Formats: sequence, C-alpha cells, structure tokens
Amino acid sequence: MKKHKLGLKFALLLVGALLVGGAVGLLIGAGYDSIGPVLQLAQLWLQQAALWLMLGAGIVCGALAAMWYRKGKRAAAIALAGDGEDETTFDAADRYYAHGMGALNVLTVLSFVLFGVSVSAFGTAQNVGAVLWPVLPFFVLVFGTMAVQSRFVKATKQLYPEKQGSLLDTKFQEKWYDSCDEAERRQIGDAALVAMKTTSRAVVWLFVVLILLGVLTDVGVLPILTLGTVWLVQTVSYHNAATKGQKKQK
Amino acid sequence: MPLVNRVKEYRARMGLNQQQLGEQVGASRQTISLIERGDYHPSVLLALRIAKVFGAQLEEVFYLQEEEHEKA
Repeated sequence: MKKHKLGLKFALLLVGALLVGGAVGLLIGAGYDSIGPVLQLAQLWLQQAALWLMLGAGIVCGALAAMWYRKGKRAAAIALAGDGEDETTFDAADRYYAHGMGALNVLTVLSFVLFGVSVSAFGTAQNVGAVLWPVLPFFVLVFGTMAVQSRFVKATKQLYPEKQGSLLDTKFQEKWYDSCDEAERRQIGDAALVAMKTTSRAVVWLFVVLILLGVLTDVGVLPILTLGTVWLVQTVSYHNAATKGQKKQK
Repeated sequence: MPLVNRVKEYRARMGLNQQQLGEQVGASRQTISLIERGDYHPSVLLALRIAKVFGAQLEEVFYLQEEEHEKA
C-alpha cells in the first residue's frame, strides 16, 4: 500500500514537472528573439553594478553581524555572570553568534561572486581601470570578514571553553569538529545533510534552467561545465565520506 | 516508550552546574542542557559517564517512560 502511494506520488510529480516545463518552454518560446539581448543587457548591468552591490552587501551583512555580535556579547555576559543555570540566556547568546556568523558567511560568498562578475568584464571593457576597481574593496571585505569572524570565534570560545581551533589555521574546521561532543557532531551532521539535499535540488533546477537557456540562446558550455563540476565533486566527496564511515563502523 | 532522565535532579543534588557536569563527562554545557530537556538522547558511553559521576546505576538516571510507573 505504501509502495503504491509512493509510486502515485512520483507519477504525479512527473506529470507536474512536465506541465510546468511545458508552460515555461512556451513562455520562453514566445519571447525567443528577446532572450539573448535581455541576457546580454542583464549581464552588462550586473558587471557595472557589481562593485556597488558588493559594497551594499558589505554594509548590510556587516551591520547585521555587528548587531548580533553586540546582542550576543550582552547575553553572554549575563549568562557567564550567573550560576550557569540560565539556559535561556546561554541559548540566546549562542543563537546571536550563529546568526552573525551566518551573515558573514553569506557576505564571503557574495563578495567572491560579485568580484568574479565584475572582473568578467575585463576582456570586453574599454576602460580596464574601472573593471579593476573592485579589487581593493574585495580584499578589504574578505580580510575584514575574516577579522570579524575571528572575533565571533573568540566570543564563542568564551561560552564554550572546550572549543579548539583558530580561524587562521587551515585545519580550523577539523580542529573545531574534533573539539565538539557527540551531540554537537550530530547537529553538524544533520546540518550537512540538509545542505547536501538542498544543494542537490538546486543543482538539478539550475541544470534545467541552463539547458533551457542553452536551447534558446548562446550561453556557452562554461556554465553547465561549472555546475557539472560542483555536482560531481559533491557526489564523489559524499560517496567517499560515506564509504570511509562504513569502514570505520566495521 | 520515550527515554526520560533524572540528570537535572541528580545534578542539583550534587551541587553541580551544567558546565561543571559537562567538564566531568566530556560534553558541552549545551549538550547537558539538551539531555535534561529530553531534546537529545545521549550515547550509552555518555550516559554511563553521567551515571558514574552521580554514583548511580545507569537505569536510575536514564529509563523508559513506562518504568516510571513501576518506580512510583
């Protein structure tokens, strides 16, 4: 009965995907001639705006991180001054630091992406100097983000003195993980699984989008090869880690 | 049959806070908090370490909900 229901659900999903794909294809087909120029226009705009978008991301994410850092420090001071029983305040401090680190991680990704977009105009730009402008803010953002992240790590260590590792160490993640206890490792495992599942879904959707675009206009092979590389690396690394995990259990 | 525990009760009796108990059993304060709230079921190893700190048998600290009636 359960298998029957699963089969029905899968069939419905296929039909739904077919209908959505058909509708999207029709819509794109209707604007076939305008797809290429629209994409080129969007690319040009993005290349010109990348620097400002990078600075905007720096301001927004930086302000959010600073706010959560202050809130976290305040909560941590109260929690550490108490008798160690104030779980709500400990949890609040922990949550604020996690939000702050999240904002900084997003900023790192955005900085790299927008810097890449900006520099991609290098080959075609008439004013090369303007293309190289984002280099300085990019480095300021990357190193600034690392400096603030170190403060978050230090603050987290005040809450959890058993934690090990320095952000400047290339083996930071391994050392941090090694200093985690079984419950924390499980949380990391759960989070990694969610990230893996979400990335896999996103990769499939992006493939569909890229294939549709490739049919309609010349996007080159680089986007699909890049996405394919990400997919392959994720699949192989997951398989390797799972196999090693199985061997360890034996 | 959910797993329940009396970690908070034993810990209070011994005058330990979560951080101190965590240090003795090799776990973080947060993990002790999660265990006490029933949000995390420890491994047998950690459960044994906790019971050892309390000087109690494992099943006195951790037990299945059904057994509560038998104890009462």
